[in-house]
Amino acid sequence: MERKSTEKSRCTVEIDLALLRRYQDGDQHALNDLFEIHFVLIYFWAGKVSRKVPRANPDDLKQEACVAFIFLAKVFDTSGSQDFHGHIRVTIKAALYLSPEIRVAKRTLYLNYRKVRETQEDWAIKFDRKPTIEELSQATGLTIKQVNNALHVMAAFPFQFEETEGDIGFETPHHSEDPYQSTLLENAIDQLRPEHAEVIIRQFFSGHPQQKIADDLGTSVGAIKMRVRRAIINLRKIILREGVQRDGN
Amino acid sequence: METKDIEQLLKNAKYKHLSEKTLVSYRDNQLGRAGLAMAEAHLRLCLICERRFTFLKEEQESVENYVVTDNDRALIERAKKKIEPAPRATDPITTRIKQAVAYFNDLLTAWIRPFSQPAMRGGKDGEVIWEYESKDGVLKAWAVSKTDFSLTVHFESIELTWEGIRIQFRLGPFTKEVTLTREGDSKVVAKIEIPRRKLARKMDDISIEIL
Repeated sequence: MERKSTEKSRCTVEIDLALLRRYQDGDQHALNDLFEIHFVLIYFWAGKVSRKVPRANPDDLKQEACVAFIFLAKVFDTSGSQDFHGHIRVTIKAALYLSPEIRVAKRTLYLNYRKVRETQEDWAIKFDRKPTIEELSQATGLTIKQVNNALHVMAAFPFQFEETEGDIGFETPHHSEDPYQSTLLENAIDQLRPEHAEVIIRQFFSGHPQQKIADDLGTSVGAIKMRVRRAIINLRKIILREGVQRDGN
Repeated sequence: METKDIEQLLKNAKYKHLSEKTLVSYRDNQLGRAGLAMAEAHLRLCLICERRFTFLKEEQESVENYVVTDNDRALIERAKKKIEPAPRATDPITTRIKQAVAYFNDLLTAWIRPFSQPAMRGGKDGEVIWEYESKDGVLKAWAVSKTDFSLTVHFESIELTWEGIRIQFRLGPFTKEVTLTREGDSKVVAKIEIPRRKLARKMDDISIEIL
């Protein structure tokens, strides 16, 4: 049974939650509707992965992702307002990563991925800009194609590779990723007074020198230095308060 | 934590890889000023996150243009068979009820979507402000407004085995129970009249239960 509709189904949190509740109550048609809305994610990410793992059968990859989709739909918590679409993306990517099709290719992908990642991170700190593909190729000793493949793999999977005891598995969050800390900082800056947030953003994220900030805001470098200092003091207070509320420490 | 630690935190922030949630929010223009500045600062430095962002943008384009194919549906059915047990045979009455439940649940979804948007304008007398028909035409429903701002919701089905099914309809605080009755030889119908004073402010607060 399908619904006649004059408009294409749109993915919204409310619609997803309504369909998930119906499916969890036993309505199989609701699962079909969920697939109609979200299957494009399976098609897209399976396609991305199979392009770089030629021996992987795209239909087998999609099948693995479909099974993972159904399991998530069965257990997804519909009591809040969580974003099913975002969760299903991560679930699909994880299913592809864990599929037998990909398992055989992991070790090769891992070696190149690690070189590219470490080189990219060092380059950013050293030169304060991103490298070109050619520069990465030269710095890592890999071909341009190998660098591109490594970037492709990093973009396609949610987890990073790690080699432990000769096996490839999941990596615990890398030191250069810290979503909690980034969110804490972002939220803290948003709570600053506008004139303080402005100078913090300009100096530390836009990379403007203080002279330029002073010229743009029509004030002196001394005033900007003072404003930055006050902003940092206030940021510290906010972060300490938020950190205590979150962790109790 | 000292102020010099905060300063170091700020200096290092642009080197932190972006989470997928942040990249999606960036793609969808949902970041605040600080988040946006941090994301752009990092994307200026990182080929990896740039590639991840490119993929997410391509995903967005796919979402807008993709149409599920018969091959896709076949894959879905195979996946379902892999994990769902075969349904047990049930008696005809239970089957009839379950069938009706499925159709009315679909109707509910079709009601909630437009009424969860910001307030729809009131209708003229006799104007149909909402209508629904299942794709196979088995169930139809429509809502008619009147000049006194009352609302009448009509249900109609060609499934004659549904005669006698009782429906409990709730819209906000208003609740009414009706029974599908035969009209002529070809359909069963039911009608619910909601007086103006009982109309819910939140029109998407609705439930329909098959009793």
